[in-house]
Amino acid sequence: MVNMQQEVRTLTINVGPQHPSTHGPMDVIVTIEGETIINADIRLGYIHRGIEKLCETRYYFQIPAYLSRLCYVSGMFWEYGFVRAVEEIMGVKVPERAQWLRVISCELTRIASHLIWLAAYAADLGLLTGLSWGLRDRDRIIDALEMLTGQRMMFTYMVFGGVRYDMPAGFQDTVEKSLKYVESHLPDWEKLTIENPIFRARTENLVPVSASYAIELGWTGPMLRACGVKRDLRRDEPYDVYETLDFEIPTGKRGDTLDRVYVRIEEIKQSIKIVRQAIKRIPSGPYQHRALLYPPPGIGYGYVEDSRGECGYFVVSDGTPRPYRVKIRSPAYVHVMSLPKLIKGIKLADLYAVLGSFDPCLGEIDR
Amino acid sequence: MGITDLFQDLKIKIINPRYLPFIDKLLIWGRRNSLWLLVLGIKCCTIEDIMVPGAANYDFERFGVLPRNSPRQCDLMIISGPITQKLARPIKVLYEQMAEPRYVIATGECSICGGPWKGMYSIIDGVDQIIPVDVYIPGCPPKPEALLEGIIKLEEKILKGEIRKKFLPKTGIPKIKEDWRS
Amino acid sequence: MSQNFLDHIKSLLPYAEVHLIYKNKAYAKVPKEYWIDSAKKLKSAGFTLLSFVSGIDRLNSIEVIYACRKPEGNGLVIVGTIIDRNNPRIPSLITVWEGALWHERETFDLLGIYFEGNPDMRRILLPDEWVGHPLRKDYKW
Repeated sequence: MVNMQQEVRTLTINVGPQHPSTHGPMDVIVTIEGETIINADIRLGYIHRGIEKLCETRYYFQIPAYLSRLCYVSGMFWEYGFVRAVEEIMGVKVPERAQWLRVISCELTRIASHLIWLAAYAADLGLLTGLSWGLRDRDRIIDALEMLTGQRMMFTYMVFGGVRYDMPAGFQDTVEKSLKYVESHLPDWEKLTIENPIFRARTENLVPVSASYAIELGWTGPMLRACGVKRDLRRDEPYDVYETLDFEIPTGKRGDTLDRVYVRIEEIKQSIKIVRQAIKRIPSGPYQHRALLYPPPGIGYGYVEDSRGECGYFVVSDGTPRPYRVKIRSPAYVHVMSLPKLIKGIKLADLYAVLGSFDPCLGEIDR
Repeated sequence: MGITDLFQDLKIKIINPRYLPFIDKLLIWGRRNSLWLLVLGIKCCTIEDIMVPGAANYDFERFGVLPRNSPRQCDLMIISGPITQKLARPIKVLYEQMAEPRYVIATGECSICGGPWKGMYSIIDGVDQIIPVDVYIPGCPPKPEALLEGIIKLEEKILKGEIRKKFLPKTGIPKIKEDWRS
Repeated sequence: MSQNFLDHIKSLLPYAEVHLIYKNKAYAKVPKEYWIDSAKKLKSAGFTLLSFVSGIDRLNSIEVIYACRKPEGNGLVIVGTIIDRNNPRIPSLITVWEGALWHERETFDLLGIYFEGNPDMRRILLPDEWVGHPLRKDYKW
C-alpha cells in the first residue's frame, strides 16, 4: 500500500506539441508532485526544416529569402545577420543611406516583434485585452514596413551591399503616424502590465536569475538585460550607424519575469526614439552598392542585436557560388535550454508565465 | 456516435419524412455558421492567419470562427506551416480527435506543397499527404484578408453540400496514409 | 586596436595559430589536446559568454568550433580543432560553460560529433530513431 501511494504521487504531463501557451509546436514534459514541478524535459524539432543544409545547396543571393522565414516575427534581423557575415568576407562598404535604411527597418521590426510578444504573453496570462491591443498596435508598424518593403512579414529587404528598395515618397509621414499611434498606447500598456496588481502577483519574483548565472548560461538580449547586465551589441560592438545614435539601454534589477516585461516595454520606447532620429538624419545618396555575386574564400561571423538577443551567422566560404557551411546562432534556443533548470520547484500554473517570458520563437529554435 | 448519427436515427424513427430536407438544411446552416477553430500554431502563418484575424482589425468571429483550445470542441483546423516527419503524427492525432464533420484549411506554401523547404530531409511535401484538405490558401504568408476569403469559400462549400458527403458515416472516413515515422 | 587584440589572444593561447577574421574577431586553431585548456584560459581572461558550439565537415576530417565573447566590451574568439571523421570524439565543454549543453546536443544530432562528458547526448532536432547526420557532406536523403 505504501508503495502504491508513493507511485501515485508524481504525474507526468506533456504540455504540447499543441498547447495554446507554447507559441508553436514544442513539447514540455513536466513531472509534477501535487502542483509542484519536480522535473522537466523539452522536446523540440517539430518544425526543423534543415535550413543550414538548405543554405549549402543555394546560391548566396537566394539565401536571404529563406532566412527571413527563420523567425516569423523579426525576419528582418535574420536576413541582416547573414548579409553582414557575407559582406564581411567580401569586404564591401555599404553606402551610408543604406545603413540608415537598415537601422530604420530593423528598429521598426523590433517594435513589431516586442508588441507581438506582449500580445502573446498577455494572452498566456489570461489577459485577452492585451492580445487585441498588441495586434492592433503592431498592424500600424507593419503598415509602415509594408510600404517600405512590399511585404508584411517576409521582407527579403537586405541585399549584399545595401537594401533592395529606397524609401518611397511619404514614408516619413507614415512612420511618424505609426510611431505616434504606438506611443500613445504605451501608457496603457504599462497600466495593463507592470502597474497591474494581478499581473504583478503572477510575475513578480518568479524565477529570478542572477547576472552571473545568466552569463554562464549564455543568455543575451532583453533576457540578459533584465538580469541587470548592461549588454547590447548595438552599443558594445556597434555596427552600421548605431554609434552615432542616442539611445539608452534599459536594465532590470531582479532578473525575474516582471523585469523582462519592463525591459521590453522600455525597449519599444528606445526604438521609437531611434527611428525618429534616423528618419530626420538620413542622408541622400545611393541605397545600394554593386557587390560581388559571391565572396572569396574565407570565414565570417555576422551578428545583429535581434529582438531576442544575439543573432549570429558563422559562414564558411570556399570560393564557390554556394556557401560551404552556415551555422546559425539562435538566441531563443539558448534561453529555452535553461528552462528545465529554472522551473524546478515552481507551480505548474507558473510554467506558462515563465515560458512565455522567454519569447520562444520556434522558427529560429528549430531552424 | 455524433450528432449526424443521432439525426439519422431520428429521421427513420420519429420525424415525418416531409420535414427531412428542412432538417438537413438546418444542420448545414448550423455547421456553416459555427466553425470553431483549433488553436494550433505551427509557423509564420500562425501570426498572419490565426492571431491577426482573431484580433480587432479583421475579426473572423463575424463568420462564426471562434478559437478554442481543445480539439474535441473544434470543427476547423488551420494548418499554418510546414509539416515535418516529427510533426506528422501529432497533426494526425489532433485531426482524429476532432469531432465530425471536420474541415481543414491549408494556408501558405509550406502546408500546401512544402513551399521553400520542398525536398528537404525532414519535410513532408504538403499536409494533404496525411490528412484531407478542403481549402488551400496560397501565399507566403497569405494576408489576413486572404484567410477571410478562404473561410467564405469553405462556408460556400459547406452550404452547397460539397463537403458533407465525404464525412457521412456511411461513406466512411477518408483514408489516411500509413504511419510516418513520428 | 585590432593588432592589440590579436596579440592578446596570441599571448593567451601560445599553442594556437591565430589570425584575425575582421576587426576584433579572431580565429584560433588549437591542437586537440588543448581544447579544454583553451576554453578555460579564455573564460578566465573575460570571454565568459559562450556564443555557440558547432562543427564543420571538412570531408577527410571534422572541425569542431566554439565561439565565446566578452559580456562587456568588444571581442569575439572562434576556436577550432581538427578531429578524426570516422570516430569524432571530443571532451565536452560543459565543465567550463553550463550553457554548452544543448549546443553540443545539436552538434551531435546534425554532425555526429560525440562530446565525452556531456550528460545528455540525445538527438534534439530530429526524431530519436533517425539514421545519419544531415550536415555531413555525404548525407543522402
